[in-house]
Amino acid sequence: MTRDEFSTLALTYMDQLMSYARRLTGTPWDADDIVQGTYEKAFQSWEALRDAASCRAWLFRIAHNLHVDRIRSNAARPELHLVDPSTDEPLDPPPPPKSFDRLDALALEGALDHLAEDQREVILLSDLWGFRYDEIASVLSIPIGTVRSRISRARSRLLSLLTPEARSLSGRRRPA
Amino acid sequence: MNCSLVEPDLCAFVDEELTPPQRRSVAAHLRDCAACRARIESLRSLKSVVARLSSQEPPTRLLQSRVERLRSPDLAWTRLERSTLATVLGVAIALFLSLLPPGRPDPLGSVAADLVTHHVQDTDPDDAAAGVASGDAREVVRFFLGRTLFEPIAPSFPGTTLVGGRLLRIHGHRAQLLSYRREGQVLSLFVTDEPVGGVQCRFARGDNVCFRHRGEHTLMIVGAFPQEELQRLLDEAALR
Repeated sequence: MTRDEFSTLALTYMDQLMSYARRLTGTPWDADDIVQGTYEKAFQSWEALRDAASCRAWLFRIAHNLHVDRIRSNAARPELHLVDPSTDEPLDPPPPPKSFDRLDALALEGALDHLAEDQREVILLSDLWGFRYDEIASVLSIPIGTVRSRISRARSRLLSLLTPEARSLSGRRRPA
Repeated sequence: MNCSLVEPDLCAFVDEELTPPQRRSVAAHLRDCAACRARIESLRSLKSVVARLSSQEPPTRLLQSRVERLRSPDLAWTRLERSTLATVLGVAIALFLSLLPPGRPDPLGSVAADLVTHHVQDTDPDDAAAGVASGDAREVVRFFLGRTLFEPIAPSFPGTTLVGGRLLRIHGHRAQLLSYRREGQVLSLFVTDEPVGGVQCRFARGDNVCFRHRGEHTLMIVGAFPQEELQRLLDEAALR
């Protein structure tokens, strides 16, 4: 793969990267920084990419690492924080819809907001962007077993938030 | 196999991430367990509704053009290279300019030209969300808090009205761009913590640009006013 071929391939994922960065950072300007930083690093070290099929996961990994670096950098400068985390109370969970099939995006987004960040990220990487478990493990630099357990906990939590039926279902266990 | 043993594998079953033996084992349990079959259906429904969320967001034209420029190998510098260059440039520029004979290249003039370009094109309709429109200095500073790597400011100038600000990058470094109105014309103030220029002015692309260091900040003011007037504004700027 030539540099030009890589560039063309990498740029086809910009819209997905933008969506990912926006969900990571929550603001359009920080998402812009993440996306621009991702492509800066990608164009500099494109030869480290072993095969074209891994390009999307590789780009998401770079974006994730840039986001982590940004969080660490901001944590070292508490005077720049806009919101005091101790006063940032979470909103109440959304009321469950009458029918799971009629769940709208707003209700789902509200439920996703109630997940821990690491659970939210794995569930979106899996179900929204369609990454396999091994790809998610690569993006987040975690073991595949951790990906499995986080997805399992994330879905259990989402079901408990979204469906009263799932609440009763998740509490039942058949005796051994 | 009872439900408690199968339950940890249900998500992986839905995601088709089990090995063939594991998959057969779970499938065998599902044949006899209505509760786990119902659980599988709930997990599949949940997966499909999450998949219907928007997975793409088009970038702004500004970001697209920046990324396209990065494709050129000549512009693909590392952050360290750019950071090093900015530092060296800032330290050396005053000495270099003092030694310049007439007619030689002017690095500060190049910076000034870039600032004028931003001054002229400081509003991208697609980037409206990347700024704040307000005459309240505290509101403008609050917008920049957490978005710059230095303490943001919104100075006041005599006879000038603040109208808003936006975040941008100058040579790879985050900077504030503050917009003011003076005598019916626009003044742009760029604020960064990079040591660019000293007490200098330049004329570039039809506008004057003056530089000034105030504490940790470098102020760069751009407008169609005489350089003496821009320098006086920088002298009289109230930073707090």
